[in-house]
Amino acid sequence: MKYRIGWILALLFLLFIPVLVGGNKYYFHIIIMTLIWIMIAISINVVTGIAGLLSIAHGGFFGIGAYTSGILATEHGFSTFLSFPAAMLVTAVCSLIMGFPALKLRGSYFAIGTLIYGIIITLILDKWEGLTKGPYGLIGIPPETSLPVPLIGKINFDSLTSQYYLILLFTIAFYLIMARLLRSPNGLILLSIKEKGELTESLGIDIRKHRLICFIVSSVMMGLAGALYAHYIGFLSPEDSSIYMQFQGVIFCVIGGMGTLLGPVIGSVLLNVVPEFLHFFKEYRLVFLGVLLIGFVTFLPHGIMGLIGRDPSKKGIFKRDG
Amino acid sequence: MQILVQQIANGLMLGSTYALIALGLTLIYGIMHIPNFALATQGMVAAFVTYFLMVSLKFSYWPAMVLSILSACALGIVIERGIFYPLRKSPHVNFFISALGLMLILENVVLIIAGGDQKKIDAGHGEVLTILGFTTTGQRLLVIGIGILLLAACYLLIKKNKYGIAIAATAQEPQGAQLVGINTSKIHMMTFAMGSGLAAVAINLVGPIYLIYPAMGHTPIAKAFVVVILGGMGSIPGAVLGGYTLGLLESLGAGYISSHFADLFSFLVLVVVLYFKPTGFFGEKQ
Repeated sequence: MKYRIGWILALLFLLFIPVLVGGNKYYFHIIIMTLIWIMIAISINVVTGIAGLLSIAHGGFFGIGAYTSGILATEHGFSTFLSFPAAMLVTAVCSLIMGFPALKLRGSYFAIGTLIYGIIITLILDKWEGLTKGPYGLIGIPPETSLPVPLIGKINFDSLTSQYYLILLFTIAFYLIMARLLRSPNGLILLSIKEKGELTESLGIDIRKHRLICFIVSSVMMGLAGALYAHYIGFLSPEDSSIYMQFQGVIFCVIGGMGTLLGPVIGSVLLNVVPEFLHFFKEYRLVFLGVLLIGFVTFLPHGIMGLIGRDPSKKGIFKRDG
Repeated sequence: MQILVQQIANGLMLGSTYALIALGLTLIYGIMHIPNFALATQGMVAAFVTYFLMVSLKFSYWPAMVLSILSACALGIVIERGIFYPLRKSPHVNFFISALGLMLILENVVLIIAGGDQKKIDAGHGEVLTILGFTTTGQRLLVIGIGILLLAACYLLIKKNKYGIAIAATAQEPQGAQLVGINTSKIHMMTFAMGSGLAAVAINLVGPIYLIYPAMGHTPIAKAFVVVILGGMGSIPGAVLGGYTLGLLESLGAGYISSHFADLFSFLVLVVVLYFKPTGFFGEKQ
C-alpha cells in the first residue's frame, strides 16, 4: 500500500511536468530526452541486466528503428500507424539474423561479436547514401501522424507537450514490460541462466532459445525507442546509432543498478538532469562519467539500487512492490 | 600488376599496424581475460605525448617516440594496478565496462588538454620512394619494417626468454605457474605494460601518415578485435597472421572492389568467421 501511494504520486508528478516547466523549451527538451534515455536504458537492462548478455549491437538497433520509421515517413509518406510497426518488424528481423549466430558465443566473445554488429550497422547507415543520405543525415522527419479521437477530434503531435505525453506513455509501457518480464517465469529462467547457466541447462531448459527471445524483445524495444526519437527530433545522422551512444545507456544502467527495476530509470534521470545544473562542469562531464563508471563497477557493482539495499543478488527484486 | 603490388604494399602496412595492436590485445586477453577496449586509445595518448615532446620540447621523432612508448608502458602499469587488478575476481562483463570507462577518461582528458582538432606528427620520413614499380613513403616502409621486427622479437621473447616463458605459463595455467614460483601478479603487470607499449608503437608509427586526434583509436581497436577473433583469442601467431590477412584483404578489397565500402569488408569477414568458426584460426575451444 505504501508503495502504491508512491507510484500514484510519481505518476501525478510526471503528468504535471508540462505545467511545472511552463514555457521553458530547453528544460522541456532535456526532460523528453531523459525519457528517451530511460527507454534505451530499459532495453539494455532487459538484455544485459536480466539475461546477462552484454550486447553492444543495441545502439545499432536504435538506429535501425529510427531510420526505418524516418525513411518511410519522410520519403514515402507512410503514416505512423504503419511506420512504427514496420520499424519494429525490421528491427526484429535484423536482431533475429544477428542474434541467432551470436548467441553461440559466450562471455567476452558475445560482447565483441555484437560490438562488430554495432559497427557494421553504423557503417551501413553511413555509407549507403542512396537510402539513408549517409553523413548528411536524414532531414525533415515529420512528427507522428495525428491520432483521431472520437469525441475531441484529433490529437496532433507537433507540440512539445504532446510529444512529452506520447513518449511518457511509451516509457511507462516499457517499464511495465520490463517489470512483467522480470517477474514472469521466463524472467526467472533468464535470471537463472545468467547466474548458473549449466545448472539451468541440466534442467532441460533451452538456454539459447530463451536468450534469443529476450535479445529480440529488447532489440524491438530499442527500435521503437529509436522511432520515437526520430519523430521527436526530426533529424537523424549515423552517429545516433553508434556504439558510443549505447555505451552511455550501459553507463546509466550500471550506475543506477544493472538488473534492477528502478536502476535504469534512476541512472538515466540522475545523469541527464543533474549535469544540466552543473554548467561549469560540462567540459569534464565525460571524464567524470568514466571515473564514475569504473568506481561503480569496482565498488558498487549493483549501482545505486545496490547502495540503498536493493541488491538483486539478495533477491530484493523478486519481492512484489505493492 | 602494378595495382596488385601497390595494394599488397598498402596491405602490409595496414597489416603491421593491426598485428601490433592485436598482439597487445591478445597478450592481455590471454593472461588476464580483459578485452581491453581502451588499448588503441592508450596508443592515442602515446601519440599525443610524442607530438607534445616534438612541438613543445623540440625533440626529434625517434627520442620522442622512445620516451612516449616508455610512458605508455608506465601508464599501462598504472591502469592495470588501478583499474583492472581490483576487478580480477568479478564477472568478465565488468572488465569490458571498466575498459569503456577508461576510454572515456583518456579520450576526454586529451580532448580538454590538446583540443579536438587534428594534429600532424612531422617525422621527416615523408619522402616518396619508388621501389620495384610501386610508390611508397619512407614512413610506410618503416611501419612494415619495424612492425615485422617487433613481432619477431615478441615471438622470440615469449618462446625463448625466461620472462616470456613465465608469461606463457601464466596464460596456460595460472595456478600451476604460481606453484612453480612464478609471481603471476607481476606477470600481469608486465604483460599489460607490454601490450600497452605495442599499441603505442603502432599508433606512433602511423601517426605521421594519418593525423592524430582524440577519437583516433576507435577504428583501430575495432579492427584489432576483428584480428584477434580471426586469429583466435589469446593466440600470438593468430594475432600476427590475422593482422596481415585483414590488412591485405582490406587493401585488395579497396583496390579491386570498392574503396567506399573498404571498412565494411573486414567486419563482414568477421561475421562469416563468427558464424562458422567462432574460435578463429588458432583458438582453443571456448
